[in-house]
Amino acid sequence: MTDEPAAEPPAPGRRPDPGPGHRAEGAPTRGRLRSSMRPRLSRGQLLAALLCGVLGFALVVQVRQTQTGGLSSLRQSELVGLLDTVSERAARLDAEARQLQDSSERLRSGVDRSAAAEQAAEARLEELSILAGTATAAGPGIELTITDPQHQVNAAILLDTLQELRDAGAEAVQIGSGSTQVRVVASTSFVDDPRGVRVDGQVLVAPYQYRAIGDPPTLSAALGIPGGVLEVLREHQASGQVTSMTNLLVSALRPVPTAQYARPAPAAS
Amino acid sequence: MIPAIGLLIGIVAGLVLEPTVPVWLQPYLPIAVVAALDAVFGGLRAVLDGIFDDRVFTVSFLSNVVVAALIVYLGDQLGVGSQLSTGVVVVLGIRIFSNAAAIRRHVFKA
Repeated sequence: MTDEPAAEPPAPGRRPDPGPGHRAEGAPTRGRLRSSMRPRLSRGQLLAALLCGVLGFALVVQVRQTQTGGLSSLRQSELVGLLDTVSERAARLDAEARQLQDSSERLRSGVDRSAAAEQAAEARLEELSILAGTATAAGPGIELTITDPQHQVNAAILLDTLQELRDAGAEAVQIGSGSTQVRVVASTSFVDDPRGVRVDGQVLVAPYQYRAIGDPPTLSAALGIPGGVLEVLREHQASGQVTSMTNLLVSALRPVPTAQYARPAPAAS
Repeated sequence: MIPAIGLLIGIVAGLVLEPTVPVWLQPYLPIAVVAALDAVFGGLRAVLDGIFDDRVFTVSFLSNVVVAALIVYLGDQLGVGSQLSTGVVVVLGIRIFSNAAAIRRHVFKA
C-alpha cells in the first residue's frame, strides 16, 4: 500500500496511476478481463493464487469459527462483561429460587401441621367419645352376669365391681338388666332402690349384667382373686358368672350434655 | 485465472480440513481477512484497469494483512481493541466499496 498515492481511492495492486480518463473503456476492459482469465503460468501468478488461496482458507475458517466458536471467539473484556451479566443473573435467580423454596417449605409444613393436628384431634375425639360414652365401642372383653335371688346385692357391691373392672383396665363398660342398658362413665351414680339399684336414674333389677371391654384374661383374673368380686357375691348368696368374649359390643350410649354456661376458654399460650 | 483457482482451492481446503483457529490468532483473523479482501478487490480493479502487477499485489496483500493485525494488536495493548477493530473494518469497508464501484463501472459501464 505504500506505493499508493495518498489522495487516490485505494487500489492495492495498482501500478502508479495512469491518470484520469481511463474509466468506461469498453472493449479494452473486456479484453483485459479475457486476457487475465487466460492461464499464464508465472511466478507472480502462482504467488497471487497462493495468497488468494490463503484468503479463501482464512475466510472459511473464520466463518466457521464465528458460527461454532461462540464464547471462544470473544475478547477478554467482552468475556468479563458476559461473565458479570451471567453471574448477576445467576445470583438473582438463586435468590428467587431460595425465596420460592422458603415459601414452598412454609406451605408444605403448614399443610403437614394441619393434617397432623386433624388426625390427632380425630383420634382424641374417638378416645373421648368412648370415655364420655357418646360412641359405641367394640372389642374383646368379658360379660359378667350377676344373679341375685336373695336381693342382697346393693349399689355398693355393684360400684365395687365397677371399680375392680376399671382397675383391671376396662375401657368401656355398660351395665344392664333385661332391656335396660346404661353406659357407665365417670359420672355414673349407683343408688340403692327398693326394687334393685338405680344407676344414673334408671332402675335395674337382678340379674345384672356387666359388659366391659378390655383384656379378657386380666379382667377375669381381677374378678376372681381371693376376696374379690366373685367371692363377695358368694358371701351375699349371689353368684357371678364371667364369660370371655373376643368381640363384645358396648352399645349403650349416653346423651351428650350441652353446657349451658361453660364455654371453652382460649388456650393460655 | 490461476488466482481464482487458488481462491477456490483455499475455500475447499477450509471446508474439508475444518481447522480450529489458535487462540492467539483469534482476535486478528477477522481483521486480516477483511484486509485481504480489500487487497483482492483492489487487485481485481487493477486487472480491469490493465495495470495489474503480481509483485504489487503480493506486497499490498501482505502489508494490508500485517498492518491490520498490527493495528488490532496495538489497540488490544492500549485497551481500545474493539473500538480500533471497528475503525479498521469501517475504513477497509469504505475502500472495498469504492473498489467495487470502480469494478462495477468497468463491467457495467455505469
